[in-house]
Order: sequence, then C-alpha cells, then structure tokens
Amino acid sequence: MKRINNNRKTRSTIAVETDWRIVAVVIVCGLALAAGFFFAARQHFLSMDIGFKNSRLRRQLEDLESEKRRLLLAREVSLSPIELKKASRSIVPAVTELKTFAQTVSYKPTRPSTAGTSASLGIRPAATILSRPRPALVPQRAEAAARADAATARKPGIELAAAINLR
Amino acid sequence: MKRTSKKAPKRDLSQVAFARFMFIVAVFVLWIGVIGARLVHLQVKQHDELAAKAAGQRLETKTSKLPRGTIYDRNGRVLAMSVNAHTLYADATELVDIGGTAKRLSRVLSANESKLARLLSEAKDLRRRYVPIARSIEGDEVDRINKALENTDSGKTTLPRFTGLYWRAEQKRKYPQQTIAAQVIGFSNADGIGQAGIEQSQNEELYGAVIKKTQERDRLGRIYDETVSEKEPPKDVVLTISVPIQFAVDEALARGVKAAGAKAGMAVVIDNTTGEVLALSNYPTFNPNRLDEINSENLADSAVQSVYSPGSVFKLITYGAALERKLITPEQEIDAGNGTIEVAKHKFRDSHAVGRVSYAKALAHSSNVCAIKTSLRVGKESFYSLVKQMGFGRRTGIELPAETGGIVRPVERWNGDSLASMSIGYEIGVTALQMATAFATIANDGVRIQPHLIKEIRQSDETVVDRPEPRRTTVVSPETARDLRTMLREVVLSGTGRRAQLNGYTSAGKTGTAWKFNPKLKKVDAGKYISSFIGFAPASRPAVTIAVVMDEPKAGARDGGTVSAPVFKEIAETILPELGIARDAEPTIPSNSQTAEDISETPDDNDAAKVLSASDVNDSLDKVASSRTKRAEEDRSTDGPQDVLKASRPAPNKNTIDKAPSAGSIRLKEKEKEKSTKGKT
Repeated sequence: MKRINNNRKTRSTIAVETDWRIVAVVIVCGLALAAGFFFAARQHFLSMDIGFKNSRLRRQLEDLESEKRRLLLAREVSLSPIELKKASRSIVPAVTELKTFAQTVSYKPTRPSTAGTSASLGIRPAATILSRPRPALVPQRAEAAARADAATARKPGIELAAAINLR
Repeated sequence: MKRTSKKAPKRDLSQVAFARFMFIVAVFVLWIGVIGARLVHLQVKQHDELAAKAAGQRLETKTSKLPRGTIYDRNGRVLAMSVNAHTLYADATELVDIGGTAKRLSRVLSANESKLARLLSEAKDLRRRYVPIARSIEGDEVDRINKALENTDSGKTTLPRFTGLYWRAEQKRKYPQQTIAAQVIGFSNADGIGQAGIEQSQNEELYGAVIKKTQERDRLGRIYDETVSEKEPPKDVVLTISVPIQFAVDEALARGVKAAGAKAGMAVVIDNTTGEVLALSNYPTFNPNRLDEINSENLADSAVQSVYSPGSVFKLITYGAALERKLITPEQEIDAGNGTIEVAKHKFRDSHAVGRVSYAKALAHSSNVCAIKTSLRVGKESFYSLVKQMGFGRRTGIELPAETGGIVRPVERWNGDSLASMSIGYEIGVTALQMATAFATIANDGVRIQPHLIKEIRQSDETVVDRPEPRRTTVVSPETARDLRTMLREVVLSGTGRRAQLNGYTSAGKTGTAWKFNPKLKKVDAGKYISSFIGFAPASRPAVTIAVVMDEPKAGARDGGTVSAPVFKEIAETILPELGIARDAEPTIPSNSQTAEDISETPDDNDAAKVLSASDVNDSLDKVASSRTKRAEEDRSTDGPQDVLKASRPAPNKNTIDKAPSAGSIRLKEKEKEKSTKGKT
C-alpha cells in the first residue's frame, strides 16, 4: 500500500493560508517602515533645505545690516557741517570767480539780433557773458579743492596692513 | 528472479533545500554579524573619536563681536558708530605656490608682487598662520576680491576660495563728525575698548560682547544650522550735545584763539533750565578717525581737566555772598579810594581807579579793591560756604573721565590775605565747566543743576533704558540771583564786557583776566594770562550760559573783554536763533562793529603798588551822586569795621550828578568827558 503523505498537502494548504496573512502583515509593516524611512528622509532633507535657506537669509540680513550701517555712515559724513563747509568752499570760489570774470570782461554783442533779443527780454549782459565758452579762468582753485576732496573722501579703499609697505 | 538494482538512496529534497537555505542563512547571518560587529565597534567603541571627527568636519565655531553701541547727539545725529570690516590674511602653512599666490594678490590688491612674495615666503619659513595682507576692507570691495581670487581647484568651501587665504571679520569705529566734540566723544582702540571721553566712561554700555556662532556645514560648505550664544546687545548713548551748536562753538573758538594768538581755548555752553551741556569745545582739537594725529596737547579735555585761576569772574561769588547775606544791594555805593588796598601786608590794586561807585559799577569795572572790601565784610566762613555750595573744590559729576575737582583750600589753611586773593579769583583753581555751572546757577534763579552730557541710554530698538536725572540744589535765593544778574548786565552795558553786547539779544556776564601760575617758578607769571568771559543770554530770561576761556592770549590787551567776549558774542548770536530763542532787544548793533571804548582789566605788569593821585581819581570813568558828605556817612555805616584797610579818600569831585545814573547816561557822560579831555589836550 502506498502511503500517501497528506501532510504536505495539509501543510501546504495551511501554509498557504497562513503565509498570505503573514505575508500581508509583513508587507504592510514593511511598507509602513519604508514609508517611515521615506518620511524621515524627506523631513531630513527638508530641514537641511530650510537650514540652507535660513543661513542664506541670515547672511542676507547681516549683509543688509552692514550695508545699512555703511549707508548711514555715508549719510552722516555727507551731512556733517565740516563736509558741508568743504563743499561750500568749492562752490563759493567758483561763484566769486565767475562774478569777477563777468565784471572784468566788457560786454560786446557779436550779433545785433542777439543784443536786441537780450535787450527786449531784459537779459543782463552778464548772462550772455556767462554763456560764452569760459576760458582758463574757470575756477582752478575749486577744481583743485574738488580733487583734494575726492582724494580724501571716504571711499571704500584698501588699507594695506600698516606693517607691510607693499607699494 | 529478483532484480536488485542499486539505486541511490533517495534524498529528501526538502532537507537538501533546507540545508542550502540554512547555509545561505548562515552566510547572511555571518555577514550581518560581521557588519553588526563592525557597527558595534564603530558606534560604541569608537563613538567618541568618530563623533568628534564628524563634528570637526561639520561644525565650525566662529567668535565675533556685536557691533559697539552708537553715540548720538540730541537730535539723532551719529557721533560714533561701528561698521563691519574685514582683514584678508594668509595662513602661510597652507600656501603651496608662493609665487603664484603673490602674483594673484598683487593683481587684485594692486600691490608690489616681489614684496608680497618675500613676505609670504618668510612667513612660510616661520610657519606663521596669520599674515595680514590687507586690513579694514569694507562692503563691495570684499565681494570684488572674492570674485577675483576665485579658484575652483582649491576645494575650499570658505571664501575666498583660494588656498591659504582667509577673511577675518572685525569692526571699525567711525566718527562721521570728525573733529566736532572730539574730546567729548573720545575714541576706542582696535579691541573696541574706549580710551577717552564718552567712549571710555560709557564703555560698559557701549561694549560689543563677544558672541560664539556654532555653524554646521555640509560637504559643500553650505551652512544648514547655526547656534548663536545669547549675549546682551550693547546699548546706544544719546548725548545732550547738539552738532550744529557744537560746530558753531568750535568754529568761533578756533577763530578766537587764532585772532588772540592764544595757546589754547575752551568753551562751554549750558542750557540753564536743564543743566544739559549743549557744547563743550577745546582748541586745539583732533580727528578721532586719525589716531596718529593725537598728541598730549589736543587730546586733553581742558574744559574739565585743566585747572586755572579764574580771576575777576570769581567776583560773582564775592558779590553773591554779600547779596545773599543782605550786606549790599547793587545800588549801594562803595569807595574804592585810590585804587589800592593792603591786606595782611599784601597790596592789591585796580587796573584803573573807579573812585566811589555803586556795587553794580564796581563789578562792571572789575574793581579789585571793591571786591576785596566786600569779601572782608562777608567773612571767611560765609565766603567759603558759598564757594563750596557752588560746587568748587569737587567734581561736577559730568560723565567724562579724568574730571578734576579744582583746588580749594579748606578755610583752616587760609593765610591772612587768602580771602582777599580768593575774592578776586586767585589762590583758587577752577575748571571752565565749574565756572560755567556757577554762572548757570545765577541764571537759573539760584538753583544749581548738575551739568550732564548724557540725555539717555537706550537699546538698539530705541527703548530707553536709562535717563539720568541731574541733582538740583538751591544755592542762593532768587532775589540774590536777580540782583547778581542785574550787576552782570551792567558789566556788558558799561563795563569791561562791552564786546559781549549782542545784536538783537540782551546779555550779561563777567570778564576775567588772571596771571597764570608757573609751576616751575612756583609763582604767578605776569607775562601769561588766562582770559575769560562767562555770561548768559538773554539777560531777561537766560536760556544758555556760555563760558569762553583763552589760554595765554598774546594779541592786544589780552584781557577777557578783548579776546574772550567777542567769541562769546559770536557764539551767542549764532546759537540763540538756532535754539529758537525770541529776540528781546532791537538789533541796533551791527555784528562786526567795534563797541565803544574798552575798559581793560589787564593787571599791571609792575608788581609795586601804584598809588593814584587825586587828579587820577577825578579822571575816573564815572561820577556819582549828590552829596559826598552824606554818602561818606552812609559808607561808614555800611562798610563795617574796615577803616584800617581803607585807602585815603579822594577829594570831592566838582562834577557830580544828583541822581543815580542810568546805563545810557553813564555812557553819554563818558563820551562827553572823553571829548572834553581831548579838547583840553
């Protein structure tokens, strides 16, 4: 008599039923775990990303604060009475010399029509004189003062280390 | 027949499969075991070492300083502030190609290549890790240099991306107003510690604390996490100084010092009702942005640190004490005799004899004899008491370092002639600020307000943290203050301070001209003066007190009325409109005109007492009153037991006026007398 081993069938039948449930549970758990990992990874990279943005913004804030200070300083320097006085010195000699020039040069109308127009419009001769191309009498002192002021003005220059005379 | 076949024993396939399965499992287990063991080894045994290594790669700790607090003037103008700057430095141990680095740097910084190469090579030999190349670089220049030095091969994650080069963040202190109020503001050193002025005295408030930033970076050097250690941010200081007023005072003082040929000058402007110092000026001065220009002469804040003999301005105290004790009134008369007086074998004399005058006139003409006689009536104790109440001999408490309290000897150590000397401003040392405060007290109806420079201290978000409340002390009665103001007004109207008459405003004050004490000779030097004028304006409702002191003027008469009063005038005429003070007089005097004849109070260089003749007395500036006999009797009764000290009385003058003269009539009389004198000669 041939023995028929039914255990395998029974086992396999039972195993199939058991396996599917276990497999399903395992799969679900696995999926949950994987999802968790994905979620954690996403969170991690998001936080990294936010961190980068944060540091960029912080750096931007610091740069803007520095810029604000620098602009405030430049504004204060330009509005300081000493700087205003220097600026006025460069303007006043120019006006004074122009007036002197206007007084010393005698007015001769080159075109009768111009003179007539000037007269009819009530324009003083000095205005016509001032409109002529100016000779070298243009305030050299003012230019020199402006050059001196430009040289000493607070521009963001490079201060080489004092101990190092590199120029 | 039976067949026997040799069949291989049937293996159980399942067992084989199982065995193979178990073998694979074993392999996996072994594999995982090895990995696990390695993990345990790495994460447990080598945990600390590896964590530190990872942290070292990931974390970077930087120390930086919070920007030092800003100093503002009362109107919000910036007087001192810090800006960010960077220093480019090289770590010589990391440099590979010295020549290439030097070449690149020379092109970027426009520097000498060979010198740079030599510097870097020497540093590399010495293994120096900090070699500064360029300092105090600000703003866009840093970006330009970063771009120019960009080298992607370096693999560096921090800027500049060039092997061996780094930035160091620092702060630079800037003073945008330059020389304005330089001694008041002071300056701070490279470490951000105040060295002088408000920078020093308020260093604790202004100091930018060191903070630590811990940064986490990824492999590309990007920061994704940062932790900053919490530190209290520094505070900002708002001063009572006003930039436009300070500038006007600085300019006027500089002009005055140069015109007088003086060695130095000081000026103080105080708001009488609040005690706020609107300006405190010293000449010569310095620019705090250029510390290499600072020297011992221009650094000192002489207005609070230098002591000098005030001279005749101190007669304010003399007459104030007498008025407070009700010993005199401004209209009462006093006899200056022939202009000399001897006290404890010391002869004092007037610069010009004034004869018999009212107390107001005596002060106007700065008669030393009258002041000494008055002080003798007041007495040592009362005089000393008022001196101390006025704040002399101790610091005012202004928020500046190294303030001196002056020199006031206790009354127990006075000599026989000390009271007389002090009554005319000798044997006492004061500062310009103390004298200004004393005058401000009189201007403020006898209430002394502690002078102060700080209006408020606040956070960077403008929340006020502290607002100092100055001390207020009643020193003299309002009546005394009023009478003194009347007398000081007379000084300007007809006395030694006529150059302090203002255009459109009334003013009052006192001149002072004193010999300087020579510490080498240990006596006063008759060739050197301290000339001052201290006054307030408008005289009717004094808004500000202005003190001007000139050290060793050389031009002209050198007295306070000549060298200091014009500076007072210029300052007052500039700042009173700026403060919105309403005019209280018609603008009759052109601002540049010379006033009528100056009355000099310059002490005579001749030490010997000069006895004036009766005719000199008769030629004195002012003639008063009706009956000399009647006045002599009144004088004897009011002057007290001082007969032994009185000089011989002058002969009665024929030209007398019955009524007490007004200021205008006095001037008229003086002009008439001058004309008659000129006519005679």
